Amino acid sequence: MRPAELSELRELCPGADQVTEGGQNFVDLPAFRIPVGQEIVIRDALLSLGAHTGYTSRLYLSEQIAGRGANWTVHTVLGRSWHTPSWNNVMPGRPIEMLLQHLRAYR
Amino acid sequence: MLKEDGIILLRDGHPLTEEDQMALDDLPLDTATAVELDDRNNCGCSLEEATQAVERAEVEVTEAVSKLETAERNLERAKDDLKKAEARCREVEVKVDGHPKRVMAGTYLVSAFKVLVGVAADRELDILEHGTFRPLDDNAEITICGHEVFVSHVRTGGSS
Repeated sequence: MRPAELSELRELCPGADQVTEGGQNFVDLPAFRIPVGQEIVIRDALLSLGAHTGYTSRLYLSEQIAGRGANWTVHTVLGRSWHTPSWNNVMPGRPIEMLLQHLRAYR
Repeated sequence: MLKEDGIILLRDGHPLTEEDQMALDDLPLDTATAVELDDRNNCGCSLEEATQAVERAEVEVTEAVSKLETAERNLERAKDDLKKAEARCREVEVKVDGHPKRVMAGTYLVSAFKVLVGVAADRELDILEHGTFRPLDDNAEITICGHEVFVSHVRTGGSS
């Protein structure tokens, strides 16, 4: 990930940082603010920048968001349990673009 | 006090002193009459006339204050209009997909703004607000003041 791409993410989440596991690139997004309807829900989040667990990309959350997303599953990544809904076909691109595609699941 | 043909001569509202009288006696008759008339004009108006004059003056002051307040309000309105006009004519910088773009400040239809900043019509445009991104409807209006941050992205992703 280029420094400019990380800077973009830090405008949204100041603690954003790149992490890797098994050759897979992720962005760690601590205390990430997720727009849900008219409210903001805060979760730790982990964005996979490539295909992961059978999906083109994944946005893992520290907890489910009630009433949003479908078919939630639990996965262990970087030694931590994460929750993610079934949300597929997020196109690869700039990390912030991928993140915004994932956030459409929670509107 | 000196009486002359039943007229009491006064100077500044007070009876003449002996010195005044001596000076007056030295003047020719016409001049003495002029001094007397002048003194009567200075203090000879009635209380009623003075009261009316004060009342007229108070009305004039009230009217003047009212006009001044109206003028001040008009000035403030004109300043606001000028500020808005300047804002509309001001070129500002926004950031779109990480790139700085210069546009005129003002209110745009989102679809027109996308054309202006080179975002394809089929992409969704989000604006960064209060630490999170808000998607913009193409038919909504957006007001640009400067320093706004936008990100566009494809409308993909779906529950499988």
